[in-house]
Amino acid sequence: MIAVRGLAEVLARLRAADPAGTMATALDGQAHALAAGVRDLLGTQPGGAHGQPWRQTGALQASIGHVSEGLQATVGSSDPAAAPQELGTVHVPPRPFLAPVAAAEGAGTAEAVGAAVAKRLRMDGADAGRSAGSDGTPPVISVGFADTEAGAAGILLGLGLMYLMARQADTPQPGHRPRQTTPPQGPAIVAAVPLPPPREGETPVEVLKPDGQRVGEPGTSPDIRVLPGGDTGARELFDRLTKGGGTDITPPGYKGRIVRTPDGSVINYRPSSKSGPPTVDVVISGVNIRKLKFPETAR
Amino acid sequence: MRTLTTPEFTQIVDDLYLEADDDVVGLWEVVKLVGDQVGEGGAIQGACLSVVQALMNRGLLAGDPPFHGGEWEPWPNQDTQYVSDRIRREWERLGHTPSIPDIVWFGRPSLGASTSR
Repeated sequence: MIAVRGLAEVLARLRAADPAGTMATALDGQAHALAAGVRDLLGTQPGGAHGQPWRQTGALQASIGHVSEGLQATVGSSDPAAAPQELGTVHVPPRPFLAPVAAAEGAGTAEAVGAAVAKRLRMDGADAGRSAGSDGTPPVISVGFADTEAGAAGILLGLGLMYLMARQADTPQPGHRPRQTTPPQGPAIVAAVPLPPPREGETPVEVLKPDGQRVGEPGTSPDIRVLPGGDTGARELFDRLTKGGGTDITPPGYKGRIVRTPDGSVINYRPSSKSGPPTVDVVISGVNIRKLKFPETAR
Repeated sequence: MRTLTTPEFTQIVDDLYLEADDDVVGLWEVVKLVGDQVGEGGAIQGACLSVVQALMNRGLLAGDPPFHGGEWEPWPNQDTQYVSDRIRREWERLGHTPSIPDIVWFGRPSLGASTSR
């Protein structure tokens, strides 16, 4: 008889770590980020590069959203202009805005999901455990096309990430330019910039723009940044930005804190509420950031 | 100081409206985005009020800053002219450019309904 000690404990920890739930949460976060990337791409002003739609009314950009369910998430739009722009029509060439983002972000998305699982397993002390991505190998990424219900266009994220384009309601007419099977490259999506390690005497600019790059990932606009860490992360950043002192101008009864620093900057820590995740609002001269959001979801 | 161009104005309104999907939007953000384009000065108030009116025309509601229990509450009177006049009065009383804790924040009607229940 061979005795294997600790096996039950490892199994219990694996169950507690809930890799599927962690993957689902991470996937949702990645879908959120991917939607932000698509919205960024749709901000191209008329007169600029026209490989993607120009921003006219902003309706297409505003329509971009994401839906997550378990290990599947969809980023896309039900705007009537979405599929014709993405795929082209008889008269209008394709101006894809989903495919370039999917192509640019696919690998990073998979790595982020795998890393989230690995991190969760480590947190649960189950380093011996292995599941998709937990050994540092990202989940397999596949990119392809498939048909979905007519009238919508979207990127489908799954354990194997696919981007999935809906076909227009009407079958492309003769003369329709066939869609490229290799998504064209869009503008590079900037990778998330981590907060720098705390340093004595650091300034808010050094904290929020290490090496001139804004920390985090873009939110609904480039000056709104999304970072990991949840409420703890938000509190820690607030403390770093206000450790030089200042005047506490927190209104009575407010669960957050607002400080006006000696240089006139105003920093607000807002705890999680129905209006959003824990957030640090900043008005700091020389920093083109308005808000730093810390959703509880690992990114 | 110059005025906002139409594309700049539209961009600011679109950005803030989109942001309101995820969060409440403070007047301070309007001030910051307008100020980034035109610089600070007396005329910034007029440009900011134009942005506010455009946001309200799209359906955002004005309310107190989200400091009471951490939640945002819409004002009972959502008449655009009333809100503009109120902002102008409180801005002048403030004596400085509105910052994070000041005057008014905006949110989607669904948010107001959920928080006021």
